[in-house]
Amino acid sequence: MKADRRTRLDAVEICGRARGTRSAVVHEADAPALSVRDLSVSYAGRIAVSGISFDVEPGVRVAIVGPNGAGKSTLLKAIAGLLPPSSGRIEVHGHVPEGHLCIAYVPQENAVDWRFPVTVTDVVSMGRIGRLGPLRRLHAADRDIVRHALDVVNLIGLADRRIDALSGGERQRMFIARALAQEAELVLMDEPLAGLDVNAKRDVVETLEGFRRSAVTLLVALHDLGLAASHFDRALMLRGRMLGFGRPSDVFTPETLEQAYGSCLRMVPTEDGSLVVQDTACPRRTP
Amino acid sequence: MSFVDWLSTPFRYPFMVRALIAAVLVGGLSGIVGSYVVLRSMAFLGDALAHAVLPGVAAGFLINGSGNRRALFWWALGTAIAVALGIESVGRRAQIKEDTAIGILFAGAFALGIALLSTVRGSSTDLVHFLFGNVLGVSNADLVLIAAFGSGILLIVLLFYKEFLIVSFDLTLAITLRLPTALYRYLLLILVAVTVVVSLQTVGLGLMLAMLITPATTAYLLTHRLSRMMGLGALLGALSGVLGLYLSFHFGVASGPAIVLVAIGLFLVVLAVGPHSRLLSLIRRR
Repeated sequence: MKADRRTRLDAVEICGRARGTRSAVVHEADAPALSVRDLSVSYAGRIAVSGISFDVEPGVRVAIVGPNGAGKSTLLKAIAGLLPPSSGRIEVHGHVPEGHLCIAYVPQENAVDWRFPVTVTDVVSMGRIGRLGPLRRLHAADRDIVRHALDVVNLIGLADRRIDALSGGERQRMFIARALAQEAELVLMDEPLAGLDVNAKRDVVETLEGFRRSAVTLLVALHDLGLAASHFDRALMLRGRMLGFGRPSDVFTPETLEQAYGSCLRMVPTEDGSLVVQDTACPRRTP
Repeated sequence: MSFVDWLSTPFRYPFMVRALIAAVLVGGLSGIVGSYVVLRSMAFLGDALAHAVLPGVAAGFLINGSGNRRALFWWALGTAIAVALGIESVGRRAQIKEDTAIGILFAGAFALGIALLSTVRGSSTDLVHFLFGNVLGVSNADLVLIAAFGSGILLIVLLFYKEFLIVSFDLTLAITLRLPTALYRYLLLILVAVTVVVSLQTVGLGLMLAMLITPATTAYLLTHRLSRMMGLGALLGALSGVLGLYLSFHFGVASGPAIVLVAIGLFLVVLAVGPHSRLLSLIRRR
């Protein structure tokens, strides 16, 4: 417990600063991990999301749900500092995202060339590069961190495997290890469960539990509303604009679900009065 | 003629010794830089760069005359770097697709080069040299230039190996790690441009692409680490250079095409019997 706390304090100290090279972004101690105000973001020339406002405290896990084309990816990219906001403001630990090294963004699976000649260890080691600065090699301490990250996600056995030999679930766990190696405090994942079978989904979600112990804040775009309700502290319902934010049980009401998904969602009432919902992931219809 | 004679005869001629050194340097360099060309899917860009050098060479030819090869080298280098940077910055802003932009620039520059050269009487031999290389005419001064620029490229690759790896593999990660990604992308293009220019005399601009991608691709089939792919690519490139020159010497084949044909021969052999070979797994199953 003490050791965990120690690591976290160290991480706070060096976040946003490559050793000795770039100017530091100091975290504001009393600021939320993530604060979004009146955010609009354009993607490919049109407004993809607008009117988004929410705060997330450190260590909280947020599921971002909504139909395809709802703007989940765009929102995550803006928070990562990859897309500029058209209006509004994003603050990570009290500062704009662009200066932070402690934000890890895990892209959709098809964003990476899986035939690239690198091993699992190579990819996880990439998480250390931002802190190294140019012209420097990985130290023994960096390699220890990489190895520990591989251990946490249970991929030690595949450390020297070329990445094209990994299954879908193993690929996501490798990216989680990279975020751990990056010592990220805010982890953004874009549909890490897409295309995975039930067992692989459970593996990935259980691996995400590893973040909870180190008080990492987590935002995950999801299609599986059941997992969103069972494994996340907050849900953000999105369809171009924010339809709801709060505890999953408060957000997932028949009204907001209908607003978000329309006929793309099947709602099945059960005997004890709760709802079973299923996102059929059909494309967003033009309103 | 014994095999030892077959191997040693070329060394009796100083021009062959210089050619062999040039072929080893250029082959090795192409294998290393070519790894980035292959992995970043820049094959078309590499080919375009090689051809776009022609107007620069032609301008140098018209201004400084054919005798001044040093001047031609600098003209080619300047043109290649300018075109590389031009393609990258146009590709970022233009409303058209990148391969279309490259295609227009490539063919346009090549046409301009030939048009310029055609105004000079008796220039057809020189054109052939630019197109297909003339490694047998390499001078000591040329070797020094190739070695100097080759070491420079090698040094940059060693210094920025991990940054180039991230920018090539996962650009999004590079941005979230707040690396200066544009800088590294331009730097990679300049590396390709310089490699093209120092290799021009060995295989010529018409066959440059083969040297950039073939040894690196052969190496890709044999290993699963980028560093090993580069090392192996360099070895295969150098080997192609040497074997090609021997074939050229003993059978009277033009040197540039001979080198390229050997490189492609090695690729086909690895494709047929290498670790990913379907042929081999079919035979094993029998």
